[in-house]
Amino acid sequence: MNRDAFLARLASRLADPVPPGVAHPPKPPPATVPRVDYPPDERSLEERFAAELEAIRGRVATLDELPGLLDELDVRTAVMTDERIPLPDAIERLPLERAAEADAGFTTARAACAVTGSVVIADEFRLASLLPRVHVVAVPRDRLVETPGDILRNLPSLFADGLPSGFAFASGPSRSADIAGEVVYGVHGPLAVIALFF
Amino acid sequence: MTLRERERAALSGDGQLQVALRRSTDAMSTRWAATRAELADPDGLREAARSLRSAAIARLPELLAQLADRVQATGAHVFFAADAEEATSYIAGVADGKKLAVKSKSMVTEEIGLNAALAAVGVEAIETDLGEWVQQLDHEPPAHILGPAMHKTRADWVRVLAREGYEGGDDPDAMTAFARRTLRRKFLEADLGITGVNLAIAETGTVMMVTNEGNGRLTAGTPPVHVAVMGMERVVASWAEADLLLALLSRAGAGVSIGTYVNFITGPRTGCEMHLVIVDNGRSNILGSPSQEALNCIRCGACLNVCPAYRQIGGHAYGDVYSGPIGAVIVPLLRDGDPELSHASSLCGACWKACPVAIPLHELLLQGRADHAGSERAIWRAWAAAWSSPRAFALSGAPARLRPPQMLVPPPFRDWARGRELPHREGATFRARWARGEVLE
Repeated sequence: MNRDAFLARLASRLADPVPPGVAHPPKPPPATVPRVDYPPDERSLEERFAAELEAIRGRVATLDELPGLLDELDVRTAVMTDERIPLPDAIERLPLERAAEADAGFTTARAACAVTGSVVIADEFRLASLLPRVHVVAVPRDRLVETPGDILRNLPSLFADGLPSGFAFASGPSRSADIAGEVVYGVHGPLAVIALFF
Repeated sequence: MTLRERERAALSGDGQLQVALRRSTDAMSTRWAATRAELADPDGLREAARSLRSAAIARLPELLAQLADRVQATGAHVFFAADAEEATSYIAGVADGKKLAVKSKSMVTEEIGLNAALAAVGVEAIETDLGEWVQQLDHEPPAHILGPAMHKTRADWVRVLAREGYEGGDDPDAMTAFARRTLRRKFLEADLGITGVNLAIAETGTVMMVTNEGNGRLTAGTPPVHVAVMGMERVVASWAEADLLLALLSRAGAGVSIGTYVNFITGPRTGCEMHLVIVDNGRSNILGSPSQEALNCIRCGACLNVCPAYRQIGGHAYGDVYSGPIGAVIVPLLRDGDPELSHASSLCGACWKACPVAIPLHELLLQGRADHAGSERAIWRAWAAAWSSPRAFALSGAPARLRPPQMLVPPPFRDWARGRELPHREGATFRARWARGEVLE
């Protein structure tokens, strides 16, 4: 169907609406969309980010802790989208196009939000953040905000040149509860997420 | 099969269905309550979301035009599909000559029967959401908007995965690892990725898509062609609205503060192709009707989890891809389908309380019954007329002295009378006592 006919049908349906069949119809919308606020919290944004990320099975680590953690996860190979986090000596670097076979992917987040433990991943880092078993992500302290709304309602500050074709909020490891309600990790994306502040 | 027959079938099993339903739905509704409490003003946000969704639906032609303009400006194609046939033939046209499509879970593609249409042009479509994949392998439709396989036990999973070569036990981690290996190859080989759309943001022409497994990101972002399919009502005006609805959708749906992967797609990747298919398929029947608010739905599934009817009979008894209270409201409206679905409810209102955008589903279920009252309406009208006349009222009270046994109830009322005590009267009527002057004593 062409667009004009499609939209004309909707307009004609809306032209003479029957009153709603509910006792209390919705109120007119607020002048501005309310922000999604969280109760006040005394902890720093970094502490909250770390706590929330741990609650969903990710973790924040320091540079010193990283080699040990990767060793525990049996990481032998990695792809890196940038050099923000130095690759531990024992790990072999693979070229980016081999992300599907690498054990770990190293990326840098564009931003992060504390209340959900989310990192914002630009599209060019998509495969490195998604295909390997382990995602190691550098989080810029000066881009750590409180809520997703602080990012979504202010996108030009993040993407000054206009929106990219894709970006994503990634919050902890990939998970599912589809098998008889049991939560499992690492379904299609990483089963471990390690964040490092810089 | 009628609704009644499907209900009986669901209830006459070994009880495993009810055990599985109770476990999954309880877990989801408990998590919704817990994550709701994280917010400073959840009730205020819910009311605002209700108003904003209603306002967006009232401006649907304008918002969809803006969305289409913005999406086209990014270099993507937009197709408006009046019905399932138009949508599936367009997508089959895009897929023609290709071999393999990967899909991330999308109710609207189930609704339009996309997989069969793709198979008809020789394209294999593989579901990549874990639950949806196992349902596809088991040739069964999804049983829940969010947890398509929530009625399956671990043993069911082992049985179905064995067909794909799984040889392990019923450990969920082992089954997950098997699914990861099997589906990973499909992502990398696929010519086409097909996803649903949770919300489309008109101001920038952006499609938002939430998954917990990461399959949505791989489906949209790995093959060279991405087809996004959306019900026309999923459009919002602004990013601020998307932020509000994302906070509610994640909590009400999966019971998390935010879905693990929230993808925002604005146009095709460099060198790739993107299509946005906007589907009506009966939705415009709801527009301008007394039930218009049903279009506010963001398909989180929260109403299913709390519905006493759904929790007993499960999704398949509804006989449509949309089940639970929202299914019982929209299915008869979308397709002049089974009007009987609006009776699959106790009208308790738990669905309305659980709904993150505060749709008064119980009232819309009543509206649905009124829409199709037919002969029942005539019976109630006759009753109202009779009891408006003193003589007819007195006459109609006469049989109440009798206590007719259940088996004497005439067939059209027998189902209704089952489990009910028929009314009967002790002693004289008020009118008789009034006439004898006993009432004033």
